[in-house]
Amino acid sequence: MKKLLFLIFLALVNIGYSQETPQIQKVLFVLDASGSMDAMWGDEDKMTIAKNTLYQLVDSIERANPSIQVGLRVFGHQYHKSLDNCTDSKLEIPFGSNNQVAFANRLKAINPNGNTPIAYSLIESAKDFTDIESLNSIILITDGLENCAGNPCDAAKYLNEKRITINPFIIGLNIEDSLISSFDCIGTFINAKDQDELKVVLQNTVKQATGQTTLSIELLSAGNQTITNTPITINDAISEEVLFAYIHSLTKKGKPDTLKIDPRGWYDIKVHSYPPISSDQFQLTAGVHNTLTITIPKSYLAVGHEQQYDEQTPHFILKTEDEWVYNYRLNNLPTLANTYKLSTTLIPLKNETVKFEADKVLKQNYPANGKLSIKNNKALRGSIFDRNSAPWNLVYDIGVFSEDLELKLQPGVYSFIYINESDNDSERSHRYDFEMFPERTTVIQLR
Amino acid sequence: MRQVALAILFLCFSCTLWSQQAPINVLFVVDGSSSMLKKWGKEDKWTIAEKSLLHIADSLISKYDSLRFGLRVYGHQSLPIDNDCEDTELKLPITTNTLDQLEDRLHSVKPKGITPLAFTLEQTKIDFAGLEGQKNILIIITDGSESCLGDPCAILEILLEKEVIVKPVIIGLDIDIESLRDYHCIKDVFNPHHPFEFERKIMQVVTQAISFTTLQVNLLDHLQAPNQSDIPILFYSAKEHPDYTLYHRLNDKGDADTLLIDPSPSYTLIVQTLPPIVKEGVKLKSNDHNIITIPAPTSALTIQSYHLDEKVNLIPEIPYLIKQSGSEDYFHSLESNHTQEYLYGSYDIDILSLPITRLAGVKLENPSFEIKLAAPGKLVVNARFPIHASLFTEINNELVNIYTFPANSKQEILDLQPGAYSLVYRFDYQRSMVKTKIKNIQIESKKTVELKF
Repeated sequence: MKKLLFLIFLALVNIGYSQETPQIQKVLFVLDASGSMDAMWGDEDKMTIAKNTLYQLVDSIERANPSIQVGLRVFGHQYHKSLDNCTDSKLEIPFGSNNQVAFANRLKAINPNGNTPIAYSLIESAKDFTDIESLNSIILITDGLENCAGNPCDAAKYLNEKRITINPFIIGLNIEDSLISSFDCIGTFINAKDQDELKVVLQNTVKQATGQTTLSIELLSAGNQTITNTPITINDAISEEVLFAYIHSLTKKGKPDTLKIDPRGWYDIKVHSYPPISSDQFQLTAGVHNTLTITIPKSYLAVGHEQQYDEQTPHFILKTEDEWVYNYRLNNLPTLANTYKLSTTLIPLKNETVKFEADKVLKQNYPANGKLSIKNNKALRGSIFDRNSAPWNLVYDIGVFSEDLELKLQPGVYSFIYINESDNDSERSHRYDFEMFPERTTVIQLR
Repeated sequence: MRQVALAILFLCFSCTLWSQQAPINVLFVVDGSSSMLKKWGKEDKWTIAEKSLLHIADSLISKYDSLRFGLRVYGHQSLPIDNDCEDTELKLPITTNTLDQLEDRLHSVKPKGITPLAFTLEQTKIDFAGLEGQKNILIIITDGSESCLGDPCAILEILLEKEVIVKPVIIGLDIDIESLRDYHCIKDVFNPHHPFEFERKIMQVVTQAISFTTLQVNLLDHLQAPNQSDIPILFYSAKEHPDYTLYHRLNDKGDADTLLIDPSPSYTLIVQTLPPIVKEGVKLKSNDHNIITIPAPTSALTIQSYHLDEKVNLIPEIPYLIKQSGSEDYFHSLESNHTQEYLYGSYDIDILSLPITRLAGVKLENPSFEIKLAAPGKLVVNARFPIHASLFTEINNELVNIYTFPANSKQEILDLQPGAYSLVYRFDYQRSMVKTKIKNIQIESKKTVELKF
């Protein structure tokens, strides 16, 4: 799967840059018809209330919004509790936009009877959505907890991972407070205290399930300053496919702009700062505007290297502990506050541990190089040692050379150790100590 | 108790070792010219020389059983006015003399004349007669230069060549710079400018001069043969700076050459391969030929990168940084297209191309190794309006922002390694993320891709 990532990225990028709400929205009502639903709730039993409310809701949806297709799955209605059937779940009404009559007829025939196989029903409902291009949602209406061996949390996770539906909604029929937390992992739980509340809650939930989901991404520095124009990618957290790549933007009012986005699944939202910061497993709340704030503790490196006119800018390599590496020479973005190893290609090479602090500029000063000029016309073998290091560090191995040589070295004290290439006696090695000064030439005269 | 026994054993072992040594013959040649009467500090130079010489002889006699010494003095018999160019006298022939004899002879000398050093040195040939080929050392104590027309250096070279002596040492009593030129051929010239320095250091110099401790460092190549060479070696004793800095060489026979090293300290040897090989606690056995074997196989690494066609643009050499696998710090950085020897081992190499070419666990286990970096291609971006842009590529299955354009850029030219890239950009005036555009690019070696927005 991972291997395809780049190709998928390329392909997706050509499809579109934004996620409009799909043309069709499918809402699957999953209704609890377990034995306990015949309990009284106010003047009537729960089953009757649920059926009536649902019918009225479907009726109003279909009048008002023909792009919404509704379906019905019921569980616990076919087998009596004593039979302990844990696969008692059935799609009673497939999706359609003209389903009021079907709802009226089927609902009449349903009576509370058996178990509460919530997990099984959720998994089964995945099959009910034959089309994942539509905006799919599940509204589970129940009065109790799973009483089969299934794990409703895993089932909900499956729906999310496969991006089959948005995170399920669970409408509780006056479920006691102590049990409510059990539904947290399944989806968005709303408890209806009475019949009137159930009506309102269901209406709102349908509106939310079928509404446009939007997201704005706010990038803030550690000091709460707005950051923008930073590249961002949005990945599917599970498949790791890159879905979108954006350059962050602010509106004319200076607010982060609003993206329309598919609320299904989890996203990894990655800000491609140096190094990148990822907000992983981000789940959107469907049908509303979501705001994600990502703090980028930006910091700056100010490399003071006084270049000479004929000199290339040296490379400054930043490395984190986990081997993320970056050539600061090319940097046009702030670096994140962190501890880095900073290495330069100057001679002598330096590895320094540097600490970047948020909203601060780290000044690293490297003086201008000096020029070492060795005037030579014999075949010599030589190396340059840094006398500031202990033990002396070989900073440049010249090898054998028989003509003049020039080298750029950082200011400091050095030793040039050399021997005539024709000499076989180590004791004839020479050592020439010299000092380098910024922008000045040190000459070693060996002619 | 056991420790004492061990100590005794060790001592006895040392005794036998010394007694087996060939005799060491030292001839002290002392300046008896009139200038030796000059005050140097609180005393005259002759008195200082006399005292020091007795002190040295005392110490050497007690240290070396096999030591024989003699004394020759010059310039002490005739006055300067006589210009006696043959004023030299063997005061004590080289044999197992006593300290009393030396003291007696030295006392008999009253400095008065000139410095016929060359003639004196010529005479030492006679003094060493019958001792040729042994460890014959000439220690010359003088305060000036040749007074007659001789060339002391020429004589010394003949003595060395004919193996009459193995080593001459000059101990100067504040010789002036002009006169020092007479001794240019001698490596061991010790010329302190203050009497206190003289007394403090003279022992060290003489001890070192007559020490016959030699060291042969055998560096093993990839075939485990001692043929590796041409590598600098630093010898550290307890000091901040190395005591010796030498290039390791093989002699005419192809053997590692022999080094004369002061045996007293314990050394840390740093064989300056890249990275260096550090050998700590190297203790030499005195008056012996010591051999240290250090495996130092090296591999000549060449990282080849290419220049673009000159017509397009010339790019500078791409540098690389190298570290040992598992280490945090780079130990060396070099521009590509150079060949550099590295010690056999596993390395991580970061070549500073765009994107950085990261080579992990490169095994250098052959005498030479070449890495060829594909020639870069060029990306030229021209935008009609300022853009914000980042260049992405896939590295280790992840999409990585390898380059962010400067804010509001309109033109950018980049050298890129061949591969697939995505340029993600948005015009600055478009205040909406969904206006971001993506341009996929395939970069090929030595070719230019031009984008116009």
